[in-house]
Formats: sequence, structure tokens, C-alpha cells
Amino acid sequence: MKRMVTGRRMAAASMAGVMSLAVAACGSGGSDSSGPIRIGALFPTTGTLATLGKASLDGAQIAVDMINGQGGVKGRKVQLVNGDPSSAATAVSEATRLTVKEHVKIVEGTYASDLALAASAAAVRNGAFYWETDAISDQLTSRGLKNFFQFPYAASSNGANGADMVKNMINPVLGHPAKVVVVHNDSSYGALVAKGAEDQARKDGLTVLGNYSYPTDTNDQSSLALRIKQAAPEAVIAASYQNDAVLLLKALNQQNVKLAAFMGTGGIYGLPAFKSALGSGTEGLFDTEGSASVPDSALNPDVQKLRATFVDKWKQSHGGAAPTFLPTIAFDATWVLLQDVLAKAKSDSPKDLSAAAKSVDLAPGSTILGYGVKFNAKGLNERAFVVGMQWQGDSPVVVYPQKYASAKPVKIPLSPLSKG
Amino acid sequence: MTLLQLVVSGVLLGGLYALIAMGLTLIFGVMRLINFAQGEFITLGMYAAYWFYISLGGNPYLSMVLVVPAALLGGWILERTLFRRMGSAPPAMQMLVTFGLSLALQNAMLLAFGGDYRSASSSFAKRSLHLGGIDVGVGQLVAFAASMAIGVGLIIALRHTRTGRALRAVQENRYAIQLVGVNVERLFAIAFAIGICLAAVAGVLIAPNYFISPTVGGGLVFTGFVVVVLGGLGSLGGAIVGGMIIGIVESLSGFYLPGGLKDSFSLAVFIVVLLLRPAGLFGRRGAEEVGFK
Amino acid sequence: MTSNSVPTTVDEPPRTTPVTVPGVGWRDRLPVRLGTPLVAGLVLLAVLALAVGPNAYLAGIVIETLFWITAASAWNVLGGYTGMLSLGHALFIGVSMYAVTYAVNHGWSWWAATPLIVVAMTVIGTLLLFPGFRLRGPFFSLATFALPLIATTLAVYAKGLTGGSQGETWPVNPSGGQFVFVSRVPYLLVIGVIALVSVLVSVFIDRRAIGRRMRAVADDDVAAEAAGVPATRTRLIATATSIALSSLAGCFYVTYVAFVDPTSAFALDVSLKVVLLAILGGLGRSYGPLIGAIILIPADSWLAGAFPGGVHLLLYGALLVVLVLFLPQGILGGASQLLVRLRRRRA
Repeated sequence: MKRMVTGRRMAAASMAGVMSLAVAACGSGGSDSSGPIRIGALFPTTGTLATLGKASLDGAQIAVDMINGQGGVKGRKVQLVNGDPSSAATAVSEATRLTVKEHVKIVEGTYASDLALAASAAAVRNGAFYWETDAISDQLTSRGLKNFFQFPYAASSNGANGADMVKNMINPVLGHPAKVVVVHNDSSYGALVAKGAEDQARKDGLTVLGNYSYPTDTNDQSSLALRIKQAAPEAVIAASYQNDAVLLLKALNQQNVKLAAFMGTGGIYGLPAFKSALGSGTEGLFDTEGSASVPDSALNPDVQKLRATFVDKWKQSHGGAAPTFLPTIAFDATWVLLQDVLAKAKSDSPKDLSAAAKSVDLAPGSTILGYGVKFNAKGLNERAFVVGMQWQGDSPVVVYPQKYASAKPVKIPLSPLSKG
Repeated sequence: MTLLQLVVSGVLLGGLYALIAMGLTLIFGVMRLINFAQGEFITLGMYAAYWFYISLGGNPYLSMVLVVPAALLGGWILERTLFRRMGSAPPAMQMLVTFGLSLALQNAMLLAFGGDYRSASSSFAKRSLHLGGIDVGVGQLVAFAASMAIGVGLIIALRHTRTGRALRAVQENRYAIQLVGVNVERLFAIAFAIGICLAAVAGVLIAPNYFISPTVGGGLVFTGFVVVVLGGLGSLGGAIVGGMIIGIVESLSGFYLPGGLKDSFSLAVFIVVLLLRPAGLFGRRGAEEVGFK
Repeated sequence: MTSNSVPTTVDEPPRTTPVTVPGVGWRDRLPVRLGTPLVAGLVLLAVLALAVGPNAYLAGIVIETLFWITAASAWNVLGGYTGMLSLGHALFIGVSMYAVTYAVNHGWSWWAATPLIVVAMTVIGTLLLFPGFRLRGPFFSLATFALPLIATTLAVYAKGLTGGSQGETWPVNPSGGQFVFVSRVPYLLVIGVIALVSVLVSVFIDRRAIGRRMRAVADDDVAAEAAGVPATRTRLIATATSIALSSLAGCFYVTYVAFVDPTSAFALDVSLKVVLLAILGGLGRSYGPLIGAIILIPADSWLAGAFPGGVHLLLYGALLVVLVLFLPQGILGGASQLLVRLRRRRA
């Protein structure tokens, strides 16, 4: 009998708790047309993705601050309302919190593709407009989700660029179509990039000797290096995260695998940490990804100035270090969202915002990454692109395509190839 | 030659797993505690090596002179303040404490060091040796040799010192040894301190080979658990042999199996061993059925 | 293992005696009175749905809480009552998430697929754990710990079924059959009923002979068998019940998250959280997981908002350590000990 009393008491207590929560929630939120325009910003700031998520958020914040410094959008200040999607499940709950409790109608984010998939579905379901600033999964735009726009390129096109680089830079040196091996970690990102690389390699007439996957959290890459050694390719195109990339290159060196070229595909392959882990071992390695360092000549004059301002502001708040790609694209995407979508939309309703986004037509060179902006029917920015870089000395420089190159490729072949 | 190279790579990797597993298995054997926070102590060791390398410009391996005493002391204090208080609490509760500790440590490191990937890759450890057609990284070789030396040293110490024999006795039967008048609490603190120290030492040894970030240790400890069960919970020799087996299996399956299946294969080995010989290869037979009372 | 003389619940004999009374007692001949908790639960649920339904943020927290009540109650049947501390319950939740996603994406209705999947999962899962029945204590824990890890790699590998590492998304267009709604109310009601069922199952177990058998097996299975408790059958019943409820929770949860991928489906976090909630509320107590989830899940989301950037997880971890140190019997255990002490003082 006592148990039932406990049960009833408990029921009453929890009901009271819920009620007070409900009352508390009614007081907050609310949006009117005179206050600031509130934009949900979903970037992971805790957990394993925290560093790059935080960098993306900082980039977006600089764009907002600069716009506010110019008087805002349509005379209204812009305010970022932050959410922290550290996993797919929290991405859903945070997207829901922003759209429903905070009454945010525009959400941007999310940096990591799995978080972006979950967050965007939840945000759009709650009637918001979703602007993806830096996640690149092909899946994002293949779902047919309305009111969803992806500012960066798709992952597969990054892999495809790796194959194109082999065709255009390595084939001429070899004098024949290169034999390539594609390797990738078994993450969603790795699989998409590798698929793009393999498909394009076949189209480009390269000989694909294999497409090997390995566990993302691998502790050792000797076996993979040996598989590559046995296949004896002339070029390797690799999609990796962090430790797997460094372990792979160390293993390739140890096993003395001879290659004409090694193509990394973004992530760690272009970051300073890569250099600090491998030292002189990075010299001559290629990396294809979106780059924050296309030459000024590829940008419109006013955009050159904008980029300089952004870089200055970033350096001021980040101890003098130049911004990497992610904060730059988060800035760029946020800037376009505010200047070219929000400012031109009839209202900040998702429908009007979508219409405005669809009518954006910016020529290449109009944004600080050198991108143009034009969304295809699925909501993917067709004028976003990746470039080929090569580690020369202490940093990667753009070597491909010619139009954006700031240096000539060196060290082809990477290691003296044995004949036959 | 390929096969030989694969086995050598596997053995080197296995040495690392063995070192991680030894810390886990010692703590488990003596305290019956599954320590989920072990990975965070590996990470702390890595950060110590990194700090030593960057700030003092020293060889990362030399940070050992600071890490070993610090880890022993830290482990001792933790056991005294956290686990001793729990006394007779059910094992699930103790496990939960280690989980909370792991979460707190990991995020404290994230706040303190940021999430950047750091590298303590000294030029010494970056070198590789070419021995009769077999290629070996110096960094891995150092970690392997140190791991084996520590393992053999520990086994000898457990056999031939008074405290070591007491530690082994407490694994056998903690109630009986209490009746004989041995101070079990002191043994718990010793086992925990050594276990934590082993984790931190493992961290220092691998710091030159891996990127350092707050979450890196957690991944390695997963494999550590597999090795511990395979070798037999509580058995140091089992940890070494188990580490070798998992290392070699990973190396071979990474080459001969589709890459994605590499992990499941060693986990499958783990499950099969658990079902056929639940005490592990070198565990006390029957222990799995009474759960170490 | 447990031989404490302090009564662990208010209205039960001390835990030292259950081995002697595993058979059918007078209470078992009476119909179990589930009426009060059932009615209270349904009323509470209706009020909840009305109160928070329009506010999707609050509804989200309530839905999460109800999900975790179910998952933790499910774990509690095996880990709490029967003493089999599984560290791999994410397996049953995750596989069900995948299975129901696959079914719905292939034209099935969620309502038709769910019962089939729960039954299949229960049978397969029980068969899977059966060989592990002879493992005790930490050995069982570590064996179950490995199961979701294996599932993760297999899910990544079996791209045709699972979508590989990219995972599978749930349909986006509203459809009652596929369980896609704009309103949060259907989610609230369905997970509410599931949570209610899971708590009632625990209450039922608590009051019938099966509960005493489970506790006897947990305390000392050799003694229990000597006293005539069919240990293996009791373990089978506990395992099947636990898996069935976990599977049901998983079948629901994926409709709400609308996305499943290997790392989130088989996350260690999930396996550990169910244990944590049950222990926090009170291990092996029918209302333990309920209390644990009601306190911790909203607190978790509040902490995440109030202390962003890793601080909340640091606090969460520290809180966990402190709770276990000072409330080793869980909240309900602590409360009942307090009651006993008060009553003694009065007497």
C-alpha cells in the first residue's frame, strides 16, 4: 500500500515540475520585426568536434559583427543564437530548441555532416530555413529537403578533383595514364570522397587498382601500407581524418613505398598539425580541398578588401594565426546569407528566404573564397569549388588549377620510381 | 616477406596493447574494478610528453622522470579519496565512478588544452630501421621494448617481492588474506597507483607516434579491454600474450580482409575466446563463473 | 554478494531472506494491483501531452525523458533485479532502430513493423546472450560491452542494409503510417505509453514471485538453485523482458531522431546511460529508472544550455562521482534509508 502512496506522490511531484518548466518557457523567446534578426547557429562546441566547430562559429560571428558594424540588415541588427549539437541526437534537440523555444526562423551550421543531416531535418520540420555553412556530405542535398541550402561543394567533388589532379599534373610527367589506389576511412565522409575519386579516376582514364577502406579509429596502418605496396600504384588518393592520416604516411615511409604522387583530400592533410607531426615528410604531398588562400587576382577588388578585413579581425582574436578554411567558409557563407539572401528577401519567412536564395546569382570571385553562388534545384551551390594544394616548405600552396595557382607543383614524382 | 612484415608490425602494435592492458588488468585483478578512466590517464601522459617536448625542448621520452612519480602519486590519492570511500559498494557503482571520472577528465583536458591536434614527434622517433627486408619505426620499437621490459619487470616483482606476493594473494582471495592480517586497503592503493602509472607511461611512449587530443586515449582503451578479457582478467602474462594476439590479428586481417572488417575480426576472436574459455587464456579457471567473490 | 542487514526497501523483508521464499506466496495469488500506477500514469501522460505538446522544446525534453525511462527500466530488469550488469544494451536499441528504419524505408508501416521487430529482436538477442549466462559479474559486463562494438563495424560494412557509415534517414514527409508527424503530441503519447508499460512491467516483477526469484539469482545463484529457484529460466525471462523493452524503445526513438548511423546507434554513451539512470534512481527498484531519468535528463539539457563548451560534461562527470559516493543506494535507496531511520527514532 505504501508503494502506491509513493507512486501518487511522485506523480504529483513530477507533474508540478513539468508545469513549472512550461510556465518558465512561456516567458522567453518571441520575435518581432523591430528587434534584432535572430539566427540560430548550430556548431559543435563540445566533444570531439569542438575545435573545428568552435572555429566555424567564430568565423560566422565575425561576419555578423561586421554586418552589424555597417548598420545591420534592413536597419536591424543580427544576433546569433547558439546551439551545441555534439551528437546526432543533441543536434535534433538543439535544432528543435532554437526553432521552437527561441523562435528562430533561420538556422545555420553545422560543420560535421552527420550533425548537419540530423539538425537540418529537425529545423526544417519545425518550419525553419536552413543554411549549411561548411558540411559537405552529398547526402545533405539528396534528401529533397525543402528550404535547405548548402553553401560549400559536395564531398564527392573533392575526391573527383584528386583524380583530375592526377590526370592533369601526374600523367604528363609519367607519360601514361597513372595507376591509382584510393584509400579511405570508413566514415561517411571518407566513403563519399573515395567514391567521387574512384568514379572520376575511371572517367579520366586512370587505372584504378583498388579502393581500400579501413576503420576510422585504427591504431596502426602498416597493413594498409603493405596492401598499397603490393598493388604498386603510381598515385594514392586518400580520404582520412587525423591519426589515421599520419599513421598512413608514417607507414608508407617506413615500408618505403614508391609513389609519383600522394593526394590527401582535406581534413588534416591541409592543417599545420599535419606538418608538426610529419616534419619534412610533408614536402611535396598534395591536398585537395576548399582553400582559404586563392590568390587576390581571383577575387573582385571589393572582395579582396573584405577578405583582408576578415583576416585582420580573425588574427586579432586568435593570437595572430591566419584563419584556416573552415572559419573562412563559415564567414563567407554567413556573409552571403546576410548580404545576398536575408537583405534581398521580402520577409524573413522561410518561403521568402528560399525564393531569395534561389535567385542569388553571383559570379566566381564574388566571395572571399573565390566562389560564385548559384544553387541548383537540390539546393547545392554549383559555384563552390575545391583547389589542389601542395606542401612546399612550411605550408600548403595552391598549385591547381592554373587559374588559382600561386606556385608551380614540385617534386613530381614524389619519390624516385623504380622502372618497370 | 609480406607475411613476416605483417607479423612484425602486429607484434609491435601488440606491445602497445599489452602495456595498456597491463594497467587495466592489474587494477581489475586486485580491486575488481573496471576502470573506464584509464584512457584519460594515457592522454594525460601524452600531454605531459608534449609539454616536456615543447616547453623544455627535451626528448619526449625523458618526460618519464616527471610522469612516473606524478602518476603514482595521483593514482594513490585518487584511490584514497574516491574508491576507498566506496568500500563495499556494488561493482556497478564503482564502475560508474570511473565513468564519471573519465567524462570529467576528458572535458577538463578539453577546457585546459583545447581540442587541437598536437604532435610531439621528435626526429629520433620519426626514424625507421630497415632490418633484412623488414621495416620498423624507431618510435614503435621504443614503445615495444619499454612495454616488454615493464611487463617482465612487473611479473618478476609480483613473484619475488613481499608486496608483490601480497598483491597476487589478494587477487586469489581477498577475504582470506584479510584474515591473515594483511592490509588490503594499502594493496588497493598500490595496485591503483601502479595501474594509473602504466597508463601514463603508455601515453608518454606513444606520444611521438600519435596525434594528441583530449579524446585519443579513450579509443585505445577499447582495445585494451578486449586484450584484458582475452588474456584473462587479472593476468599480466595474459595481457602480454593477449596484446600480441590482437596486434597480429589486426595486422593480418587489415591486409587480408576487406578493410572495414578489421575491427570486427579481433572482436570476434574476443567473443569466441570468451565463450570457449571464459576465464581468458591465462585467467584463473572458474573465476568467470563465480565472478571473483 | 549482498548480505547487508539493513532493509533495502521500506515494505520488504531484509534482503538476507529472499532465498528462503522463492516460491509462490500468498501475494502471488492475488491479482497484482497495477490499477493505481496505470491510472496515475495515463492521467499524467494526458496532462503532459496537453501541457507541453504545443511547446516542441519542452516536448522534446519530455520525449527524451520518457525514452530514457523506458530504456533504463528495460536495463534494470536484467542489471538491477537479476544482477547481470550488461554494458551493451545499446545493441538492442540500435539494431531495432536500424531494423525499423529499413522496414519503413521499404514501404512498411511503423505500426506493423514494430511488433515484428520487437519479437525478432527478443528472440535473437536472448539467443545471443544465452551463452553468456555462465559469465558472472564483470565478465558478463565486459562480454556485453563488446557486442555494440562489433555491431558498429558490421553496420559500417553492410552498406546495402544500413547505408554504411552515412547511416539512413527517416522519411521527411508527414505520414501517420510511417510515424512522421509535425506535432509532437503523437510522439509524446506513444513513448508515454511505452514508458508506462515498462514501469508497470517493473512494478509487476517487483510484486510477483518472479521478482524474488530474480533477486535470489542476483544475490547468490547457487543458493537460489539449492532453494529451488530455476536460475536459468529466471535469467531467460529477465533477458527476454529486458531486450523486448529495449527494442521497443529503439523502434520509437528513431522516429523522433529521424536518423540512424553506426556511431549514434551503438554509442557507448547509450549503454552507460541506461546503467547510470537505473543506479541513480535505485538499482533493482521498480521506480528507480523513472526517478533517475526524471532528474537527470532535464538536468542534462539544462546543464548543456547553462554551461556550454565542455563545462557541462565536466560537471556531469563530477556530479556522477559525487552522487555515487554519497548516495550509493540511489535516490530511492537513500530515501528509504532515511525513512527507516526516522521511523526508528520515532519508535
